[in-house]
Amino acid sequence: MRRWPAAWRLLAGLALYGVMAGAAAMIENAYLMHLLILSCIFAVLVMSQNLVTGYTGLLHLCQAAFYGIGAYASALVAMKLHVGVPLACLVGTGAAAASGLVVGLLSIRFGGHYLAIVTLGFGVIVNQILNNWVGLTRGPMGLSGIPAPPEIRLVGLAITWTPYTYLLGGLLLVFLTYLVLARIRDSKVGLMMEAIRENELAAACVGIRTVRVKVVAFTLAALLAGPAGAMYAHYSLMLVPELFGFLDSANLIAMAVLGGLGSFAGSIASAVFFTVVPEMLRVAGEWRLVIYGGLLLLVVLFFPKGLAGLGTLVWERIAGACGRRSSQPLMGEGEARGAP
Amino acid sequence: MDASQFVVQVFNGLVIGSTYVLVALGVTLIYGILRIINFAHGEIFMLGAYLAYFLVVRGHLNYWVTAGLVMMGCAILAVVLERVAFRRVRGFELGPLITSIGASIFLQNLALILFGGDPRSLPTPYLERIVHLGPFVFSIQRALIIPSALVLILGLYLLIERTTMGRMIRAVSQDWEVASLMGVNPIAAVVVTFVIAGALVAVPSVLVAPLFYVFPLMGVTTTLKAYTIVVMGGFGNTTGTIMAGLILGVAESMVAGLGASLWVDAVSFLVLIAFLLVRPYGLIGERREENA
Repeated sequence: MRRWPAAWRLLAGLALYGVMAGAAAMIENAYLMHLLILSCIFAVLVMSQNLVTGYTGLLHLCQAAFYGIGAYASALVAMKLHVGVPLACLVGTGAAAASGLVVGLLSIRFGGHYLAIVTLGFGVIVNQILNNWVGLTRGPMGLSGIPAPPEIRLVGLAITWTPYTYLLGGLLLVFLTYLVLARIRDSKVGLMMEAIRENELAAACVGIRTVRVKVVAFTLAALLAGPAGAMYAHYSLMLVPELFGFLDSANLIAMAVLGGLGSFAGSIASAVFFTVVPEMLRVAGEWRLVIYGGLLLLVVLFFPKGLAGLGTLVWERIAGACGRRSSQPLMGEGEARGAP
Repeated sequence: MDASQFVVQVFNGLVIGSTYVLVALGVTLIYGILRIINFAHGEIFMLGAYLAYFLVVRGHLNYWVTAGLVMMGCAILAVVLERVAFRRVRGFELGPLITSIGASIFLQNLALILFGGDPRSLPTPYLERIVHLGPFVFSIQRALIIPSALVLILGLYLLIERTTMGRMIRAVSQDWEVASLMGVNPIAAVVVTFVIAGALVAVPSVLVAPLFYVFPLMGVTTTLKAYTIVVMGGFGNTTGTIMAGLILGVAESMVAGLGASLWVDAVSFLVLIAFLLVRPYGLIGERREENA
């Protein structure tokens, strides 16, 4: 793939951010605004899930637990220790990263479905702690009264927190996460991760310290989920354990797969799509989640490479129509039909 | 906890453990043949319990006739699930995981719409009756579960080890390609496996549902438990699964007996993780490359 110079990419990123910020300013519907903020948070979570599942090839079923730890740690530190919200967010991020490190260390001994069950178990344990340690987390009643972030004063400019500024913050978080993850993907560590995904034994044989890379992948995924959690906590100002359960982790891995494993852009698209679409299905009332479940099933059945695969397909068609020879075979097609 | 309480807790643990075993055996058989984790297995359990409820409460059918019908119903449901959610994505690593999660969300919420969220209790003729055994008192409903599980496990053993059908399933589980070269129809083996898995999960639906309640989300924890047991027993290992199920049942019952019933799930997963750190290949599994 042809790459632009770094400065150009930075400029392009800034321009894109500006365009999005401008477009967001035109949104008047408060509910849509809320959905877009949630989409930003989910985009960050799904991208970091993709680092572990899509790039390193590890079945990881507790992303929602990392997210929950980030959210609860940040909220509790801000509430009980009365430190400022920015510091609390940092603490939340640290706590999430630490939990990622623990899961990463556990992953040393396990692979495949064993790793899946260990991460799943970790998620269940975290969720039970959030539910049952009523003295600290108020359990199923939920944590309310979380402080909102303070005004930001920048050279005489006071920025107050409205849904619009939250959305700007969320977008910034998505851009930064993408930047970090893209850097990692293109670095040596990223190559090592892909080597592990393709064949762990072979990767170890050429001298890759597979254990270290796997621990790094988990820690990074949690580290990036931390700010998303903290942002959710100080945005919604109310937390309940149900937001961070097994089904939420399952949802995140589903979004990562549906966006396309190994495509961060696909992750963003699928996070937005699968956050906004179920809400639009509210017109379908109680059938909403039934349709959502069916949709998950159908997308995997008919677009096994996810939205990114669909994007490639459409791109190849357009390129083909414009007379360019496609450089690579259509992703997914052969495998979809020719599965043994 | 005194001695008699201890015995009662062990008994209750074995009862719960046997039901876990019956659910987990289905999961492990399916894993054995397709190398996939079926997250929607608990939903078959849930729908089986609803079917039993309607047959008994609305249809006024005999309890044992109901059990037979539910076994058939669950078997059909399992086969439909295989056809819709799994056949097309066989061979993708994460595809079946996501389709089964999708199917699970679909079925849970469909049940929620069709039957409502209120828990229902399934009446049986045996719930109130008790037997006295020395100083201990057992309910017949609970006591029924252990022998039923034993009979089914024995039947499963004979089916898998002694019949042509069983040999077919074992062959396909060992090597899909080679088995099909030898003239075994692998799809048929898969369908039979799902029939067996569905029929097995129907039994706890009918027998355990009266002890607790029937509600749309009852399958979620069941799936997680079954998954735990399958891992603890070593994937695809039937004997290990049986042992792991009973151990987990008794352990949970003990934790609940000590007054920590809210923490049961956390404790069982902590035990699982600790256990896997010591024996990463399951209770009696041997070291092998996982080809999932």
